[in-house]
Amino acid sequence: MNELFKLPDRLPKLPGKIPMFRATRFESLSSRDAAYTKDLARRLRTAQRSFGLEGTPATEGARLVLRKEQVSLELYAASDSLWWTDHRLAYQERVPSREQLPDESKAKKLAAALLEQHGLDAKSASVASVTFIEADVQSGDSKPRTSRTAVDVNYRFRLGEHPAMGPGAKIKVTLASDGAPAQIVYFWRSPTKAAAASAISATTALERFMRDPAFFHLRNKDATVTVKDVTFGYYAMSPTDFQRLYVPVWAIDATSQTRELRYDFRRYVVAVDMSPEDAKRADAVANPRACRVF
Amino acid sequence: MGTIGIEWVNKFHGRASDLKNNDDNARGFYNTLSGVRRFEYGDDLAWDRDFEQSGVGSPSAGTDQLYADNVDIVFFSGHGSRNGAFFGIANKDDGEAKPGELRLGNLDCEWIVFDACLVLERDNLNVFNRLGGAFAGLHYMLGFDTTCGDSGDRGRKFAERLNSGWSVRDAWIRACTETEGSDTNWAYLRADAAGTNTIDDHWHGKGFVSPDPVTPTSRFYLRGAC
Repeated sequence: MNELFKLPDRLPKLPGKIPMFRATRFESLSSRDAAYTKDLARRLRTAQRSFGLEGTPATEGARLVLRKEQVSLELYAASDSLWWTDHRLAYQERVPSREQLPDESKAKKLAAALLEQHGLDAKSASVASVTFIEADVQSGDSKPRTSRTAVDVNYRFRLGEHPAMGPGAKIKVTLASDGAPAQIVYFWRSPTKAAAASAISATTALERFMRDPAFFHLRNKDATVTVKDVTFGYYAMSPTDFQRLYVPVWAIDATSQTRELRYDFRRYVVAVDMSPEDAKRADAVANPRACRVF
Repeated sequence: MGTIGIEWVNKFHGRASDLKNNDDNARGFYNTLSGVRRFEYGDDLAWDRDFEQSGVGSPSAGTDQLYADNVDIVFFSGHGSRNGAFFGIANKDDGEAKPGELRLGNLDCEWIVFDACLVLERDNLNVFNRLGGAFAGLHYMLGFDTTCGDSGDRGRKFAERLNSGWSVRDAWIRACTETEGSDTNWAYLRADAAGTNTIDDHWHGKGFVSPDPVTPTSRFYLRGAC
């Protein structure tokens, strides 16, 4: 065993075959693909009705954007994602002191009701954390004043028995004073089951992790890489990206320590054997570089 | 027309584990944002002194007047910590652009992005003591309160938003939210002074840009989950 790495005593185990999940219903995102364009138009109509923003959206790269005064609604063309924001409330730096944020329990209830009201499917998601948008203001050299200006109810999705990971699988409902809705971030791709695949073990994943060139220049006597946790899940790319399959991954949480820097990080090792060429042929992800370790 | 500079580091020569995507990340920003591309330095040509004020700190080899403070927006992508942006080589100064060595905006810089872990860590409000002195006309410092991922496209997403007329802070928060899970906290620190209103800042040519808060009277720190 390489002395650079410190590994956990126990590793999780998987059955030989793991379920795979498709992350899109479409073969193409072309404007000539009738099924896709029809679905995008339907999504747009539904969101416009639900959030009360009419008009023709602006195209901003991978997003369709509607604005009305201080409110924006973004629809992502490559995933089933959307982002609604009331900019008067979402990222405030000051709030009147008499106004109160909902407590955690109330925030969870309000968030669930808001998702239901807008028809956003959260059946496979659950609340992972309740956090705050915190503002600190310093006048001159005085002691900064701190306030919580909004509360975020953060959901995570699951696919079957395992968590969905990465930036493209989350819900965030932001509530301002008195529970006023300030923002809904809904990043998701509706999954459908695909054929099962053989997974690599956590041990194999760690072997690949340790061979990652990122560690080649670390010297054993000066550095350590301590693996704290190894978790199986499915990776969802940014909502702007096209993704055909949720990528099964071993998520490795580790700390790299040198004399100069301590660095906590997460690295994903793809949990099925797929070369960049295989990934290209399967059109699994938009960027085939993310096929082994990323 | 705004001017743009980037520095990025993937190779750390054993000073820290290497990274993979900072070239793509910073270049995505550089090649997308509408403006004049002023400089790009990567790996061993990215130096801490490029961000530091001349004559400040120890060693005091700062040359920000030629680089970071000689453009409107500068984007750093690499390792970081509450001790500042961390570089691959340490023989030009000491390999870290330490907070106490930063004085930005006394020449040109309005916005600086540290796309790196923890440079903007709140640290029980010490962020004000640590980084407050860097504001000498600078409007915003944008980054993370926590660790962050080795993203290859956050810079491009940020630039796309700026080009589309989103405010600077909205553009950063949205680029972070699209590229990180909710365990990561985006953060920014901004300054205001009499007659300035940096909260409404946009990229040059895309909306309001506040006058420079040369002598800041207020500083604002905001953070939230991605």
